[in-house]
Amino acid sequence: MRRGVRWFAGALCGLPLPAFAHSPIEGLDDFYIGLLHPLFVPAHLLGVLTLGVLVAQQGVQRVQSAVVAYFIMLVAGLATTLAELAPDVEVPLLAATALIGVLVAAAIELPRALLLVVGAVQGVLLGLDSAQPQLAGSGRLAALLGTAIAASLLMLYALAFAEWFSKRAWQRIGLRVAGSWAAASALLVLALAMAR
Amino acid sequence: MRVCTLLAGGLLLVVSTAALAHESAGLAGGFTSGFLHPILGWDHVVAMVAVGLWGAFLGNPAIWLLPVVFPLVMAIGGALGVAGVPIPAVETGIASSAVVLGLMVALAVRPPLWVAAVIVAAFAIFHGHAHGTELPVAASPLAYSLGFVLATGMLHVGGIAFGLLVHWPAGRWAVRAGGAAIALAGVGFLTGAL
Repeated sequence: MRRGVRWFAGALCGLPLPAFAHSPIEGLDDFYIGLLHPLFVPAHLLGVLTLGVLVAQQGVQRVQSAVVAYFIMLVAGLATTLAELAPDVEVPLLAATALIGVLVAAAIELPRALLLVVGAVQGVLLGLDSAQPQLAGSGRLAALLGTAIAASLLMLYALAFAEWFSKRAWQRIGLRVAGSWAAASALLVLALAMAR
Repeated sequence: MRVCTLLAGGLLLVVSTAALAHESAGLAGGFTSGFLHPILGWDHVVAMVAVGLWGAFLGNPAIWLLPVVFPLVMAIGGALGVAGVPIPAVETGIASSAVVLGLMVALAVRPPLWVAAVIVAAFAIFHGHAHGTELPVAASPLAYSLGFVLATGMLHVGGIAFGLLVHWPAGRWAVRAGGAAIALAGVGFLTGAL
C-alpha cells in the first residue's frame, strides 16, 4: 500500500503545470496580456478600427492632428488607470463608436476640429477602459505599454487599409456600409448597457 | 492488484480535463449565434435578400443606400427589443416585409429613393426587434450583434449580386421572378404554410 502511495506521489510530481494567476491565456506574460487586450475586447476592437476608417475617409493629410490626439489621449487614459482612477466608460465608449460609425456611413467632410475631438475622446475612453487592476508594479506597466502599442498599431492598420481600399467608388461604398454595420452593432449594445 | 488500481485511479484523476459541454462559449459563441440568427430564419433570409435585390433593381444610389439604411434602423428596432418595448405583430411585420419587398421587385416598382428608404426602414424595425430580444442572453452581446449585423449585410450582398443580373434582358426577368418567389414565401410565412 505504502509503495502504491509513493508511486502515486511520484506520478503527481511528474505532472506539474505552471500556475497562471493573472493571465487570461495560459503562457502569456503581462506585456502580452496588455498587447492582446484590444483584440480580445470587442468594443475596443470595433472602436479602434472604426476610428481608423474615419480618419482615412477624411484624408490622412488633412486630419493628422486627430491621429496625434488619439495617441496622446490614449496614453493619458492608460496613465490615469495607474492612479486607480478608472471610471466605467462602457457606455461613452459605445456611444462614441456608434457616432464614428454613423460618420463613416454618412461620408461627409467634417471640420478638422471635430475630428480632433473625436480622436482625443476615443483615445482617452479606450485608455480608461483598459485598466489592469489585477496586476501591480512593473507587470502593470508592461501590460499598459502593450495595450498602448496594440491600440495604436490597430488604428494605424485600419487607417492604412481603409486608405488603400478607397481608390474605387465601390470600395468607398463598402467602407460606408462597414461604418453602418459598426454603428448598428455599437448602438444595440449601447441600448443593452443602458437598459441594465 | 490493489496498488495498481489505486495508482491507475489516481493517475486518471490527475490527467482529467475540464468538460466542455457547451462549446464556442464567450466571444466565439456570441458571434456564431448572432451570425446564425438571421441565416437560420427563412423569414429573415428572404427579406434581406429582397432588400439587396430591390436595391440592385433601383440602381445607384439605392444599391448601397438601402443596405446602409437597413442596419442603422434595424439597430433602433433592436434597441427597442433590448429595452423591452413591445412592438405589436413583430412576426407578421417580418413576414409582410418579404411580401412587400418581393412584390416591389416582382412588379418592378420604382418609387422615389426616399420612399424606398422609408419602406425598407419600417421593416428593419421589425427585424431588429426580433434580433434585439435575443441580445440580453447572448454570451457576448457585442460579438452577437456584430455577428447578426454582418450576416444581415452578407444576405444583402447576396441579393445585390443576384440583382445585378438586371443589366441583361433575361436577367431582368430572373430577378423579377426571384422577387415573386420571395413574395410567395412571405405569403407562406403569413399564413403559416411555411
